[in-house]
Amino acid sequence: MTATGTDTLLAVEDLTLELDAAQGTAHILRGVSMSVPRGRTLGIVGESGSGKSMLLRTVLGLTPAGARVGGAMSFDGEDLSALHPEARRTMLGRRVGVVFQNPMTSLNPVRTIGAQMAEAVRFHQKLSKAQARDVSVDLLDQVGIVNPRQRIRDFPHQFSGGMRQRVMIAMALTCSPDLLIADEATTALDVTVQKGILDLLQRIQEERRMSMILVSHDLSVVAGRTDDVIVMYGGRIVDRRATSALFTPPVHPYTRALMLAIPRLDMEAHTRLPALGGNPPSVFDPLLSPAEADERDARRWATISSDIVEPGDVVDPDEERIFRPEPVVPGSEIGAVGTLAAEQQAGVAEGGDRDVAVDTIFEDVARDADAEEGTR
Amino acid sequence: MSTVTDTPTRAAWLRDDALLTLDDVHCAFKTASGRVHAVRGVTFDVRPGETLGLVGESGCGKTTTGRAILRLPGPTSGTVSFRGEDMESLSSGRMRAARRKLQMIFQDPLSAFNPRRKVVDIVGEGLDIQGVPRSERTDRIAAALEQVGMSLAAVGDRRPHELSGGQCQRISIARALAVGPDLIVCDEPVASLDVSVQARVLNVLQEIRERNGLSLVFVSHDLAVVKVMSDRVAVMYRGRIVEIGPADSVYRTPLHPYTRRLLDAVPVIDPAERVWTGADDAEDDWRTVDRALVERAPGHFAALGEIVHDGEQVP
Repeated sequence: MTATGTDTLLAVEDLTLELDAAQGTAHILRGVSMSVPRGRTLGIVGESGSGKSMLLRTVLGLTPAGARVGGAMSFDGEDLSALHPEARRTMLGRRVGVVFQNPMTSLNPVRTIGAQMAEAVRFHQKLSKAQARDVSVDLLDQVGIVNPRQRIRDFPHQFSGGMRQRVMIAMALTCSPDLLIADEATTALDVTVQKGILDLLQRIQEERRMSMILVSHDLSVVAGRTDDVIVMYGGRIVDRRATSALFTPPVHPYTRALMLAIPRLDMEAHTRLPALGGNPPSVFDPLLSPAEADERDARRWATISSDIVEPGDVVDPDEERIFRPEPVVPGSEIGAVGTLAAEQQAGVAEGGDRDVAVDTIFEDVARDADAEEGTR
Repeated sequence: MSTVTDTPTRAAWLRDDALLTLDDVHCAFKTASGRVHAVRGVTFDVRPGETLGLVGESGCGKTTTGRAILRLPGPTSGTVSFRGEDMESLSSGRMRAARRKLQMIFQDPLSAFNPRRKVVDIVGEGLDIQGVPRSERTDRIAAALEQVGMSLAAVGDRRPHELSGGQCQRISIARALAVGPDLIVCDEPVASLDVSVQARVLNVLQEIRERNGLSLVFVSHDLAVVKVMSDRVAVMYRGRIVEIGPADSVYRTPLHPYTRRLLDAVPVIDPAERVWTGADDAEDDWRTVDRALVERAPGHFAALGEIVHDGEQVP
């Protein structure tokens, strides 16, 4: 993926991020390449520590002091690495809007919403205070704040969590951004509020034909709302495709593992969930070549089971219940969502037969996948 | 504590073989900005070996209800009975015995642990309070840890900060298990965990429930997690239960508009998960008016009955 072509708004090439810590060098990003086309929505999914948030912070120049950044980044054809950090922040500040998870840490608690909005508006446009207020009111109206002319006199604590997040979206829109980044923007919200915010982001993105990056630890948040998805693991991108093709074979083994571990609304009570064993790679792991990293990761991705014992918990070699990875059908033989769901549901198989169950599930799935090939 | 003088009538649908019964439980708190009536007349029961899911959005009173079961603090009015005994009437000695049979697991295990204590002492704390002899103590700690898939030899000497979030949550499960409970209230036990870790902790809870014949009250905002864990589900809204019934029945044929609204809002990977059907038959005033629960399918109740005002009249 290179930064060529006018369709690409943001391009990142072989990005690395290192930070020295007491435990040694943390390799937070280990060669990430990706691009965001104009007018499209990209989802970034990964578990904690996968590097998804640091990827965006690095692009925005918000890296911690002492961090070493390598690789190339360009925005709208301009080479970001060549710009002075100050110039880069100014440029991106005018063209990229960001909404973070916790609005209370982004908003000043002792200033009114109106004052903070007007400040942002006047930072981007030469306007009088009265004009800035009108722009603020209009933006708050666009994000669904009822009675915005009154509400701009309120302080952040007078807004609910969902309303504060709407205010943050309005502030992110003050610069009329080309790219809107929502970093876990709906994570702490109730489901009905979350749906409202995701609907709002989608509507704004479509109306303004912006590019958008939706970052979440939750595959289901990203699944229905994006054009493309990248899946991060251990500071690398391990899966990248059109969202609509996320679960069409060959399904990436890690994406598949994530999907299998998520409970479903149509599951039976007391279903056991197949999950990855062990822990994801540490940022302090030594640098590996992509091939070596693939090999190491593939080993863990093959350890899906619903056993409750994890490696590292048991040290006594004579201990009866040592963690034993279960054999897994290669991802390429697994069908689309429907089949994956069947596979996950099969994991239900009444508790007692767990050990047997995992083996047979995958055989069944392989058989089902074969049988269904003709119809897909 | 109630000022109601006549004996409250016991809700008709409570079952005699229940392990835990909440009857018309109210919880109110005095705060700087006035009185908050967090739980307004919650009635349900849990049978031995049964898991009841309590689901709802923040502020609906689900956590307060869970805590009222363990008297952390107890209800302002109404009764919580455990094994047929009203918890409020118990002497302190009997209460201590009941507490052993009632345990709780919290969302953030790290803040529930003393950071300076070792795992072995964290898990053994309840045993020490009970006065379990030294000779028996280690075996019971080891057995509790083994039940959550950990070994005393491997983790006993570690301190909380040396453990991952998933390991911490399993240790808090072991701590609850060590004293031999009949029922565990789980308050958002997987809310801050990554999906693989969440799956493992849920599996551990399923395993210990099955092995020990435990009852669980599983409090969560996550409807899919609740579905996987629960035999029955109660949906809470503004301090009241708006729908309660067998989990399958509630998720497949939700009766209350709020339940349907919640289900519609859940993000899913696979649209085929959305299995519910049915049209609204509630009045439009469900947000502002409390209605009585009526049974529409076997054991499946929804707040679609007559308007009730009891919610606001408690001291």
